[in-house]
Amino acid sequence: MIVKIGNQNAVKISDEVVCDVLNVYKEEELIRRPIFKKAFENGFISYGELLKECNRILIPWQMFFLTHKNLIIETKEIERKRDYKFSKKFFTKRKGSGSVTSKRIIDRLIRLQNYITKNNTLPNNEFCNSLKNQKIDNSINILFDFFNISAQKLQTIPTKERALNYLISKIELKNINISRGVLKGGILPEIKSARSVYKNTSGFALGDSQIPFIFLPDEINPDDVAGRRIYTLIYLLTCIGLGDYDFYIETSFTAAVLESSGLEETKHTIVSEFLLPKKDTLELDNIKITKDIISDLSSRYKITPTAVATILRKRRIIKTYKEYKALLPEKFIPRKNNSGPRNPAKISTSVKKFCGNVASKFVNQGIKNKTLKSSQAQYLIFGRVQKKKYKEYCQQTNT
Amino acid sequence: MKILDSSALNYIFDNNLTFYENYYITPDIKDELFVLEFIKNKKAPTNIKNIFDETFVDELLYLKNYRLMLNKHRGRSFFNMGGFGDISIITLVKTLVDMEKKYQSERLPMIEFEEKIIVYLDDKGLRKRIKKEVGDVAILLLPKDLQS
Repeated sequence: MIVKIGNQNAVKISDEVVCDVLNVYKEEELIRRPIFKKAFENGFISYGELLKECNRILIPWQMFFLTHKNLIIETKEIERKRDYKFSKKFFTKRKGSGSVTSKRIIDRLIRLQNYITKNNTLPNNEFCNSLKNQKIDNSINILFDFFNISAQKLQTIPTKERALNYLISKIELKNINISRGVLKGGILPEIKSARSVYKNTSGFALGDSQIPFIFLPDEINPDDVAGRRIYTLIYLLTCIGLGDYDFYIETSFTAAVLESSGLEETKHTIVSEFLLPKKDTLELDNIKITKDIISDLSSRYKITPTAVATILRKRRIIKTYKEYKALLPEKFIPRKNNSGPRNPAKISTSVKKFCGNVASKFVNQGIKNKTLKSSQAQYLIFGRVQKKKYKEYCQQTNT
Repeated sequence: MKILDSSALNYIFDNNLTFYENYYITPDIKDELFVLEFIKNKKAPTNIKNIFDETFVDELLYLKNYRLMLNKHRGRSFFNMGGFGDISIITLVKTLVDMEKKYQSERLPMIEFEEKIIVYLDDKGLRKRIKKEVGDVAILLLPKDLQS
């Protein structure tokens, strides 16, 4: 197709290249966007329209100008970096509401992780593989001691959201970066097709010997309530500690815990024991378990009622399957978020949330000492050049 | 025509330089300028101009050459989005040279087109690539030469 400026033909670009670029994130169905549909039909697109659309879908416009041969080289490089992390060694996820994981989010976090490790000399993270060959009790002790987490504090924190923040702050102090999905601030494309992908995106971990990353869907998946996020966080942390990256938890938590075996069983046992210690449920052994008891335990131990019921069933405290089914809560229907926040989030808050506190610090350092050019920083933070937001971000963070 | 790359821009800000003549930057370098003004907390000299704010640069030819240079030269990365400023500088120099040839052959008068193309830059790799593209037509100077 032709790229025009005004009514004049400027340069010819390859239709095949346009298709392939739009299919880099196939799950987002960018090829169906009206601007591109029209361009394919008419055989041309205006340069101004191309720039605007690229800004919306967060793909650099220069990619459309590559020859097919060079695009193959570029996409192979992206896939190579992605596949390396997707291998058994370095990637694990908790399955979300569907079977899709946003490759765009994965790519963004791989870039961040690579930037940090390539530009800084960091020691190996002692937590990685520290749970290998440990007994369950030792693993629990390591989790609490290494991250300096207080079980008592966790139980007395009033809400699951605050408990999650407490855990994140402790884990990040030990150089494990926690990234969370955000809908605000233009950090991710604000287009409908992308959002439906995000809804189905699960939490995942990207292994690394220095700065492992954990991603929690948070805002981008309305099913992802705080209690679920806490479970996912500790689960993915356990994967990092065991150095075991090739496992999924089913959407139905029940299936995973009840049917798991081998190392999967170990992980669930560790997570369950960490969040709801066996010693705290012994006294329930001969008591009739009610929904109120489930609810109290859920509030105290900061996990979902489903997780509580499943753990009690696993421990044979809930004796029969029939009893267990009756105690499961109603299916969770997330609130529709029709209205925006009363006060829009500060851009620095959204950036820190998506990039993670650890990664943000390194990016800010790079900006301050000029090892990171401003356009590169913007791509790391926003996935595109966003001058005004970048300026706001620098003002808010004094970089 | 005097062209600045990002290292030259940094030099101007760091040394508080001002000029009487116009200096030009490409759209890719302009992105850096906006942020530089904010970081240094001062405005750029008003005679640092975006080439497309001036009407004599052939935007169609620039875009065509951008595609050529993007595919010909390495040193740019879509992974960390680096090196596109360099591509834009090579493109601009080539475009100016092509325009000069075109207008000479068509014997059209050139409006406000200086004979010499001068580029202020630090990067040795970029120097090599400009020379490879246009030979010695462009004069390549260091940012510190802006002071003389």
